[in-house]
Amino acid sequence: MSKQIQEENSLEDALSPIVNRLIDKNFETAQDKIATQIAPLIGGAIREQIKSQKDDVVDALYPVLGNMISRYVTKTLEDMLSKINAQIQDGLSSKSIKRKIKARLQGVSESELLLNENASANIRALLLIHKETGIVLAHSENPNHPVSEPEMLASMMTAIRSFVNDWVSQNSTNQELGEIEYGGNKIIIEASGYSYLAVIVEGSAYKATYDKIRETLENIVLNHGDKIKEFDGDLDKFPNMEIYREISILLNSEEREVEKTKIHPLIFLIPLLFLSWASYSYYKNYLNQEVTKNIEKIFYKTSQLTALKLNINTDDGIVTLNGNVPFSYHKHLAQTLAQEMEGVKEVHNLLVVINSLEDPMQISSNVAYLLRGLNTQKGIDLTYTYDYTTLTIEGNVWNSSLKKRVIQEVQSIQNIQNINYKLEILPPELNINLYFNKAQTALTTASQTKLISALAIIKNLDSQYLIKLTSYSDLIGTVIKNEALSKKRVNNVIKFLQTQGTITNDFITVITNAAPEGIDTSVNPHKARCIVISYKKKEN
Amino acid sequence: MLAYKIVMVGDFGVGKTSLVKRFVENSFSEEYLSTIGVSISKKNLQNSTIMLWDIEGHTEFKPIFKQYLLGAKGFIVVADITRKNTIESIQKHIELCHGVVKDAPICIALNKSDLISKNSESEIADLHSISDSIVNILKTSAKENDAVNEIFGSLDKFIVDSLGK
Repeated sequence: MSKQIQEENSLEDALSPIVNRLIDKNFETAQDKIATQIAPLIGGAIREQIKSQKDDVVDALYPVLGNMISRYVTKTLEDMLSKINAQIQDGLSSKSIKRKIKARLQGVSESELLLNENASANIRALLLIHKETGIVLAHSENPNHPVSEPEMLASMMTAIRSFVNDWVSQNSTNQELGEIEYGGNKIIIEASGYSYLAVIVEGSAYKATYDKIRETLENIVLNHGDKIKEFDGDLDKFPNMEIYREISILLNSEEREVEKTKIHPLIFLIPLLFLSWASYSYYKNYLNQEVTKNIEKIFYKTSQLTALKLNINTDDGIVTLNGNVPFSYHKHLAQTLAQEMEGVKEVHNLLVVINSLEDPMQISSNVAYLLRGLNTQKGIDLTYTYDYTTLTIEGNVWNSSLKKRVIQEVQSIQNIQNINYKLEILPPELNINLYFNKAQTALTTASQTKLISALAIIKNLDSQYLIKLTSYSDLIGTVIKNEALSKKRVNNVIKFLQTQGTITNDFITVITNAAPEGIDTSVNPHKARCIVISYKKKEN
Repeated sequence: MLAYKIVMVGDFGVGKTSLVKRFVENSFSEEYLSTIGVSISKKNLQNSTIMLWDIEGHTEFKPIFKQYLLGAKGFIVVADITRKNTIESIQKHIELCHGVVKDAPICIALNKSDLISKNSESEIADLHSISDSIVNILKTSAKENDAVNEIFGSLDKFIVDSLGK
């Protein structure tokens, strides 16, 4: 027994190197065979391993699965982030505003609409197919997603439709296949009497897409229904180009909607600029009108200007005044009032002063006022008449200088057409008697007083008048003695006058050895001893 | 450019699919695969594009869907020359076709001609009497590529000519 065990051990020792080598060799030469033999066992082995040693399997797969899952999640998150970013960038665009309004109107949430937009309908191809034969009558496709073998597709579609319709018609009436979905795509089928439109759409389709498809088919049937009905297989006789154009519109319109959002945002500024320009002009116009109105009001309230018709024009704070005013006073007043108005930057004063404006009553009263003033002065005594064209000034003045002054004053009154002067120079009366004491030559106090009052008259005399001194005698004593007394008396008077005031007039003296007329020397000798002062016009 | 539909009609296992395969792809397979529903092939000829509808073979339990025959410009009725009952049902098939498309041109293919040696012209003459619309009757062999192009060609010519009128 023990010998047998020993033999087995020794045999094992002897064979094991050979067997190991054989197994190694077998692995090298017949890997494929081993793989096919082992493969069915692997599934079971894994199952068994998971059943008994779940944690071991989880640990072994964790690094691989973890990486795989994290990579998938990262990719999904990235996609989501980029989409959210795009939405945020799009946030204030016209499209989003449109979407907000649309959401309100339709009573659905904005995110629902947003979801629809993200899963945008992308029409890959459109086929107009003859209903019975499945022949493609017209076909348009997105160049980015071409359809291989549209004829085959059309025939197969037709076969499927036929099958479904045949089967369905046994159960219910007038029902047709409307849509075939596969993966993320679908084929929308819109049928008419002799043809149907198959639209291959990537992603989801919305009511608008269905509406457009229906509308397109309606147009085609309306325009080419007869040709479709009579189609006998000859595509050359069939207006497929026209139909192609119609179905291509559907293909393009879907794309165009995407392009629409690419409009440059500055385009929206144009109406905005126009609007602001219009409102600015309106505002400016309003301001101008306000300024004009305010100036009109203040002109009306100012009594001097109430009656005047003045034209006021305001442009951007610059006020232009036009019209006629009687006096420059009015022009200045208007300018001042306008300038003080709020909102006025500058005043262009084009008011014209019209001198022809006159009031005869005013002129008359002006003259009356002037003459009353002049007449208060000594040596002037005037009256006037005014018949509204001619003013006549009449009266006397003491001397030529007064006359000259009167003329000057009258002429200062404006707006008198004609002035007629009837002025006479009439000096005041001068008849002064100076009495002397017996055999005396000195001037008495009374005489001095008289002389001083005489001076006021003499000063007003024109230089053409001579001052005449006539000395009379009381006839007491000798003639010679009396003549000497007279001469002395005359000289004293002249001396007195010259010392009291500047007299430009010349003197003439007359010395008579007689008594004044009507004086009796025996009765009133003191009245005979006198000098009479008078004036006399110079003789040429 | 013409585009039209031809339907292959016949009992199951007569070789409709094989004829189509030979004509379109110029290939043949000994394996038998029953057609389920319909198989459609396209063949571009010089002046026309033919859509070939190869429909499920007719059996006692399964009638042919008439819908599949709609709008066909012509039919190829196929029979197995080695199975008499398939030849006998040719008349029934022609009646079915004309029931859907009145007076449609028809070609009869007596297939699997490689399996028989003797010529039987009399049988062909008898078949002609079935309908005036029969354009051509030929013994064909999809396996040997015998008269396959001719049978399709003659139907195509007839259709092109009749449309051209």
